[in-house]
Amino acid sequence: MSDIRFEKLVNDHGRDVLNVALRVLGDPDTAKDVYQEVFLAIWRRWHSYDGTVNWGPYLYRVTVRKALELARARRPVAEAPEGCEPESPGSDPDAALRLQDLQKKLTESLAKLPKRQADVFVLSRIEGLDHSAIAETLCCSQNSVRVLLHRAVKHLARELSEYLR
Amino acid sequence: MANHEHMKDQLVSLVLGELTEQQRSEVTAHTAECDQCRAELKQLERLLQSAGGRKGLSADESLLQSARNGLLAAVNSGESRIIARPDFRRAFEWRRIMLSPITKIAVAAVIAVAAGLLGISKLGDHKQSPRWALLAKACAGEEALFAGTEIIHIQNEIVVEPAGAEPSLPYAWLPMMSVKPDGSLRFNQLKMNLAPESYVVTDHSWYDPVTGRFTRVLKTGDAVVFGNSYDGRFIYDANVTPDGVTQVSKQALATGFKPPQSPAEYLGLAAGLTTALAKDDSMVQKVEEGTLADGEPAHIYTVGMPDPNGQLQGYFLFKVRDKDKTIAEKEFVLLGRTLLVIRRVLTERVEAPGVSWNLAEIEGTATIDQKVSVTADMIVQNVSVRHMVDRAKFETYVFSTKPAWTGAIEITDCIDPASMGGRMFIMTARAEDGRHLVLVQSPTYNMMLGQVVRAGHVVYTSPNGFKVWGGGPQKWFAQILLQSAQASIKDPPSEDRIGYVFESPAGTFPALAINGPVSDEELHKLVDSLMPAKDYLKAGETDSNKK
Repeated sequence: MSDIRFEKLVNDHGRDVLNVALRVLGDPDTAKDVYQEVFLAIWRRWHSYDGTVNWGPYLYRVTVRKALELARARRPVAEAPEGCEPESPGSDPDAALRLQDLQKKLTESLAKLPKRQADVFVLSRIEGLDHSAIAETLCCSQNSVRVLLHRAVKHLARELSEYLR
Repeated sequence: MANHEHMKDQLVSLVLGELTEQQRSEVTAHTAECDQCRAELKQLERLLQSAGGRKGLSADESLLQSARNGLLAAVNSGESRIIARPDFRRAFEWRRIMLSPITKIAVAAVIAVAAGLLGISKLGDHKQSPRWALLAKACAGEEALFAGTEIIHIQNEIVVEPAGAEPSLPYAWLPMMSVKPDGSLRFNQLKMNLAPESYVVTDHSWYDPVTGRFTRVLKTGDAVVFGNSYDGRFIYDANVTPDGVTQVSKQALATGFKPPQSPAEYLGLAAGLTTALAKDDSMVQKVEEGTLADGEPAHIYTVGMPDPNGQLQGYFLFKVRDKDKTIAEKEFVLLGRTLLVIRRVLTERVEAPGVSWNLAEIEGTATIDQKVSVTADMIVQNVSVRHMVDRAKFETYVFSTKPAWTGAIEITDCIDPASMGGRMFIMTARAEDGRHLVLVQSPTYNMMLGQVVRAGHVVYTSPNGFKVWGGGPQKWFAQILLQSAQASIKDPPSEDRIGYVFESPAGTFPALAINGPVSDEELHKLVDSLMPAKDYLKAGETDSNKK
């Protein structure tokens, strides 16, 4: 594979990778790190890819994993993001603050989930993929997706109960 | 109670939209009466609402561009695994240091300076300092290997060290010379991907001092990765096709063919380095006594160029065996990590070469090895403006008129390994008074110098739209430029050298060095005469940038 193909890969999928990382982490700086780390990992092994990789699902998978890996490693840093357009919490300042708190804690709690549960939750509830697409991305059955999603929701609700009141 | 537990279990299904109409009515009716389930349902809804809110996040153009630039910079500087560390603050600090443009340029300089080290120019008269003398002797010893009347067989091995947990580069590389049909040298790049495990590339050369015939083959295991030979009538090149088969090309000798002055210039451990080091020993940083892998005593030379902070980001170690004054080992270190060890494992006199002078015998060998590859023409000297315009993927500039105080301008085209597949163009002009001029244009500089120049100030703005930046680490930078052009200018950088960075109307950053003082008037004239190379060609003017 040539370097030009690597550049094409970055051009074709870079925005998706960055958006997924941003939505998982809610923090533009760390999202940039995820983007960099994901593509650098591919670059390091570029010679070993044989041209049959289905990059879309692969990148979805590794980006979510990498984002959660960084979320686990980092200290809580997410503040009001710059360089992205968050959904407005409305005009109530208290509600905005509560939502901000919840957003921070959501990332932290996601990072604590078992990996498969976290993958499924992110792809379903943050990325909006249906069960069939998630099953294809994670190479598992739709039934597994359903079970993992239930567990993830229960787990997160328990973990975040203090912030969900 | 049983109904409550059952309904509670259904709450997740409800918020996930998995229930039938009837089930939904039942659960909703229960939550209207049950405070606990109603509260739990509210929490679940809030959770999913919060997660769903993330769907609205999307990176804007500047964030995407910044991420992309960061990626390219990381690839360029070899900063390939610095983020996923347990201590995130430390990781960010490290990243901040690594993102320092100076550091990156210092790393890139290892490559640029290598271009100068690979000067084709023949060894001329020079004063030898004591520091240089021993290494010079070793280079001479290297040449002596090829003397005599019997065929000499030399076997070297290149040990590619494991990538480690935090590899500084995706691959390591070495310059590798081959002989062209006109007797000149071709500069190739031997690229070796770093892998989790160490591996070895073997380098076999046979040379017949009587007839000048030679054959050289590089292999990983049984796979041939490169070959070059001369059988007295033809030059053969063995290269590997993308599908992993060795292809041998045979070219008749050009009229007036003369092999290079010494086989040490293209075979052996000093190939390509002897002439440049002979011209400029300022690259020899220190000499220490040590031992070789086989325990024998040796002198170890550190050869490289420090950054403005005095740090050696990348350097070669030359280990000269005390006993016979030959170079026994070479080691390449980048950012404190050994990437390559090149070691001589055998020299012997033989009756016939192990591989024929005619490389045709290795044609078609199955040679699948994805780790090692060869890029031809790492450096091409004396190219035309047309060549530069055709090969550069960015706006290049030339002087529309040659400066009165310099000789003819030459352009060298060399690989810019710090960018992804880009080329670097080095324009040089020698001056009678020693004030040689070097102008370098490259994708790496275009990307990095924009940040570096801010450490200095604008000293001139030309009517043609160019800004001239001076100050900052310009002297250090001028040294890099001058050393990268050693092959053409032939003199070491002077103490009063001066460097400027031009900010072009196209947003590129050509970098200029002059090996001595320059007046404001001379500088302004020089800058005012810059024009896009493609316009220069269109204007149909004579190719004075080359001639």
